[in-house]
Amino acid sequence: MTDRTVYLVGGGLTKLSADRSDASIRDLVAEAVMSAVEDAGVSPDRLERAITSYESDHFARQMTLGAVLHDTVGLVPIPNQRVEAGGATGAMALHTASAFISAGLCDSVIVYGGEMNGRSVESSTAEHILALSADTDWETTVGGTFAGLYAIMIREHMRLYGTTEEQFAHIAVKNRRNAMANPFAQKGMALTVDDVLSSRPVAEPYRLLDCSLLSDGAAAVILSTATWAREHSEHFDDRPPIAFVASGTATDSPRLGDRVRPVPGLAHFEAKRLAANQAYRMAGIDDPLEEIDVAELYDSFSGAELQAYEDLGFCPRGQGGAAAADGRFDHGGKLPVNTSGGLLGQGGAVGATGIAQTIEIMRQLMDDAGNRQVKDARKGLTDSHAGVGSQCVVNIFERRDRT
Amino acid sequence: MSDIPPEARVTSRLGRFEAADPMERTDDPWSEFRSIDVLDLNWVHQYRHSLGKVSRFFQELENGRLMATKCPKCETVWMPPRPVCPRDLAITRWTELPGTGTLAGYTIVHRSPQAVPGLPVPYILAYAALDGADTLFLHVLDVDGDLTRVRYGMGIHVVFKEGPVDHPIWLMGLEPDQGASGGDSVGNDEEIEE
Repeated sequence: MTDRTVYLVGGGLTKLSADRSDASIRDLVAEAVMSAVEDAGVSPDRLERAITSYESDHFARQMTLGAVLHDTVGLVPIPNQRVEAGGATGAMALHTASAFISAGLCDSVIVYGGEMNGRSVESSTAEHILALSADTDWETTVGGTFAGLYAIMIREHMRLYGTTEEQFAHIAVKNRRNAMANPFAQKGMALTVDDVLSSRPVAEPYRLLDCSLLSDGAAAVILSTATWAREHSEHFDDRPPIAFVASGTATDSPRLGDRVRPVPGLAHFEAKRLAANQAYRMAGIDDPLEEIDVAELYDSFSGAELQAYEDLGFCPRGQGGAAAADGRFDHGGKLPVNTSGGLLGQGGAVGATGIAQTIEIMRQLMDDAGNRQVKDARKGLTDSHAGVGSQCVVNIFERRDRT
Repeated sequence: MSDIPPEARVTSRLGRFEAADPMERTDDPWSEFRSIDVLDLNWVHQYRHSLGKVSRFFQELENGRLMATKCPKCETVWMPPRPVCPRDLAITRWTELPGTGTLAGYTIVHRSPQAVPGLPVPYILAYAALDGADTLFLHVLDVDGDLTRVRYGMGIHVVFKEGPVDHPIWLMGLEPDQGASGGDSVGNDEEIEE
């Protein structure tokens, strides 16, 4: 049987910004795809399959956006389908692409996508649209905004474990600092914990600087077997091969109130724990903190990254607060997290997010991350979720030795 | 045509601007594509939204009754009600709750959500553990302007309202019990910071 291992052969990301009105969603995806194709050294007409990654029809004001984008970048007539999983949309698109290739349906897939989450609508309207992904009959209707629901989760964490606002403020500081080294990032900032704590409250304990960014942006990545890459990618043999070794995904009740198990209750992303454990089994990882070298986590709010440390097994439950503050997840720490800046610093254009996380990990594992390079990074992880953890995807990538 | 000023020719045009290269390249590959027009497109739509098989929950609020559903097989009491028990894929039965309970989770929200026009800020978004229910119920907890009253585990109860309201979920609300206080109080942020 031939080797069906899936490799990342190239990626492209646009500048993320609160206002990319210099471009439409088509223009942004074209920029990302052109950049990915160039990075991979692939002729686009060799690609066999495409997956379009975007969350909502409302931002681009275009339904069947997949068909429009696919045509824009000249991929007609190869097959294309849209994948959607809220904040995990891009990661789920990669999960799907990997399954296609592993199953032998094709040898190469391009995953592209983006979102106009920035100024295409007023920010209050953007929050309204995003709030529609909570339960509109029972949550959105009573003022259950995402900031509010995430705030209830982290407050429960504070109550159970004594986690403090200062501890998750460190994450807001770290990710915006990391973004300063990323030319594609929307908003790198040199902040202090006090700056975060003195920003205005949004949904207590979260303040403005604990909240991630709404961005315009797009990203694309090309995946294939090694055989296809050797034949069709000019650069595959010049760079360390990056294998997509594991992809775990799991679900939870969308409404927090239905998660009444005594543990994890409201303070944890149970589906994230399940997805991570699946991925670790696939990748043969026993101790993620020791074995993973770099990770991009879903920091929709600063405290959500803290909770993810625990649910991904980077530290025991209840110790995420201390871990956030002791620097082990800083650049230069034991396991650097969100070297791109994450959603807090690089930005959040939903359909691009999981792809952008993958590109950051790919660059790090290729030893091509410039002044934000993590030394000797061999294994990397991406984590993202929909809603407040209703659909979770954990993907793991590994640098292989050249054969 | 020359009599019409450019700004009047396209009524939806929000503006025209010369875009900078976001990547600040010296050799901008898109230099011929940097004059950008932005339109102001408006779209208002109304939904005819059926409350479907949970309608009775809202109907009974008008009678001052709080209704949940109970699975005949596993006996889980779902609140919000579910017509189908997801554990057994069985049709549930309506059951009335007393409307008493405790505060199981909350946050103080400072930004008015566009999805709920007129909701005054700050408001307390609260999860109620209602007596008789196996799940938590989300609503606004009305502390009559005194945010320092809120405590984890405090006694709270459902109140019914006359209307008129925009959405029938507002025919009810949550209020603290008289002299209520929580068992494992953490207090609110203002107190912690002081």
